[in-house]
Amino acid sequence: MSESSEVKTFQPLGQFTLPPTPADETIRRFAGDLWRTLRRETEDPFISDDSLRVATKRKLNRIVPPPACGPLLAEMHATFDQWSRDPEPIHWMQLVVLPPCDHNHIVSTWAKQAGHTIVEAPERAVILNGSEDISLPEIEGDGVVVIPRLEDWFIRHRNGLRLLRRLLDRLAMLERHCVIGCNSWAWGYLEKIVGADLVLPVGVTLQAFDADRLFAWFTELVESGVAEGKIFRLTTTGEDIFARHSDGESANSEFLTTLAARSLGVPWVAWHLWRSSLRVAPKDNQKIAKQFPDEEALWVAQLDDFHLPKNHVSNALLALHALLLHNSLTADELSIVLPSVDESNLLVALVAAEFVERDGDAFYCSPTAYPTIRQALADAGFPLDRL
Amino acid sequence: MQNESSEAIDTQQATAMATNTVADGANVVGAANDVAKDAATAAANQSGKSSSKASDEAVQLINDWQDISLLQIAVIVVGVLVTIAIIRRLLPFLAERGPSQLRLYLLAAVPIIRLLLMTLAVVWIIPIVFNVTFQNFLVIAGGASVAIGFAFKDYVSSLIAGLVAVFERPYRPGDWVRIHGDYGEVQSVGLRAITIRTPADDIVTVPHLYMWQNNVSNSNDGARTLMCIADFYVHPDHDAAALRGALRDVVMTSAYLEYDKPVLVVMSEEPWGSHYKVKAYPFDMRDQFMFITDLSVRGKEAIAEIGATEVTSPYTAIEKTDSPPSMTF
Repeated sequence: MSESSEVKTFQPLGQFTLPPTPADETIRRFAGDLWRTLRRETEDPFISDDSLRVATKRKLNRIVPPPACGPLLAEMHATFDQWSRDPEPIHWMQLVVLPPCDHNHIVSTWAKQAGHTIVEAPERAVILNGSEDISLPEIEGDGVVVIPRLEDWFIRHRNGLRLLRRLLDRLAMLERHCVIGCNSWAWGYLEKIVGADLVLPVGVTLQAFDADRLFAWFTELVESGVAEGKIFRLTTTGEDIFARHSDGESANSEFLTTLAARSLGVPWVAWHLWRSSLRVAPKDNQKIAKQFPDEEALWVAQLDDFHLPKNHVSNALLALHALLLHNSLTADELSIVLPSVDESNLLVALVAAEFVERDGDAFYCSPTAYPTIRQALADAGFPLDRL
Repeated sequence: MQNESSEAIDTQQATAMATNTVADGANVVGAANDVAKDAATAAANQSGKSSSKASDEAVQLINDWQDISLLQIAVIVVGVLVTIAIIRRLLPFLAERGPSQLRLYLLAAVPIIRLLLMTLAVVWIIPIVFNVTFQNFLVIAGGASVAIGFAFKDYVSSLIAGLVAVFERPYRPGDWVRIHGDYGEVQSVGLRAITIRTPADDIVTVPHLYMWQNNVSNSNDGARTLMCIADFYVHPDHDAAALRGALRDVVMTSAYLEYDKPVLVVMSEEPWGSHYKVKAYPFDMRDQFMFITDLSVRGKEAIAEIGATEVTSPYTAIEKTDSPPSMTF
């Protein structure tokens, strides 16, 4: 078993190392739109993206099936298994800080798989209408209790903040195995605003998904899905991105290295970016059939660059920042936590630009746009997350 | 005896020969002295000519018109002016569109680069126009000091203050300053004056001269943020601890808040009620007025939620009369 396929454990906060960006990718991104445009014009791709079809969501789900959390569930088991069976642990609480845009609810899923008690946050409507006497969920008892998402407690509202302080006070006195999940943006906020780091122990987080980890995970994914036997070729060079050397190591990791850097080491961001780059060749494409007669190729296009709409950028960033802090918000909830009194069509524009996705009434940041959002927030001086 | 006489003759001859040799030596020395005198005279003459020539050059302040290349001067002036104009537009352009962290550095570089370019142009042009000697420098400095003393005292004082301001940095482009009652963002730092844009979108030009004798209040001093204060005036009959906590939460939940800076809610009792000051920093100082507005709006909600009442000063209506105001000529 290679090192990359071993089950890793989570690591303490502060040790999350961003995967390195290849030099040419760095130059390419710095050069800006004009340079990119010129480069594309002068390049002669192996196969033009225009001649390929974008795969449907149903087809993508068959080729690269969800969930997008990869080996993280196994890693959580490996991290907390021994601790959860210790009757008198050094720390009764464990804090898990994960990057945002986790639509797989990893901590909840792990808790369900392990049979732990899950304590969900009160409904946001209850928090909004609540006063001092709003009751906290019951957390006393035996076994492991899991509070999967602190960001669900409507933390950037006065009522939510007050409720969260009461929860932290209760947790400080709790002598029960307790795992608390929180996304990195919400944790960065709670650390400073309510001093949550004084109550909760040092958090743990996943190890960044670099090219090797992505290679191991994606290889396992494609070999277990209906894509088994298909070859994933780059549209620019025609190379197989999952080709191996004789020792089993990745032969062509440039794409995966770029993907790891672009996704900031976040597995679900990498997974969504990869899926969004997959293309299907038209059935009557004779050129491909001649060159690769005995195989069915899936094509991997260049990773898309996202650009914020040029107008109303500051309001858009405020909205995106609020969404990252809360994981998801309805339009009404968003208007409560935002200072702006205008821009009623802002969410619609952000959905159209694929920065925001919608699930019923809830809006949340798109994983594929997350790296761009984070960079834009950093450029604008917003307080950032910490991993 | 014969031998003795012959020896005497030899001695005389030898003495005569010695005498002749000494005489010859004296002649040589005399000749050498003559040469030296001639050389000294020639050198003295040459020195006199040189000092006379230098004296003539010292009197000539400006080079001959034939030697002054007006085209070269024009190229230098135009080149420097164009470069300055480009920098004055390019750097603020980049500052507005680049990362927020670089904004103040780019803006602050504008006056320094302009000063360096202008200094370069002056140093380049002076030898073309003027005959640069120490004597000329004294002559020009003397004349200039008289002219400056009488005619351009304030102007030059502003220029010197401008030079001091570039290095002492009491204000930089992008800073928010209050000078002589005007508060606003420093738009540009020129050699003679600065321009600030007030919140009312007025451009105010303030000569550097003010810096000598007036206070310059700089709210951010080169930092990306500055303290904002929202005031609340509340009737004294309320739960002060609860309101203080509520106002603190108002700040903590603001979208503009810089987490890493302190948040303070201070209160003082006044004869007319309780005065709360909420002090905090936005992450970008350009949001300062929106930040204060956000704090004020949500602070009012918090005050109402805990059952307190805001107070206002008595309003004195202006008396209206039916007749128009009389005018006296």
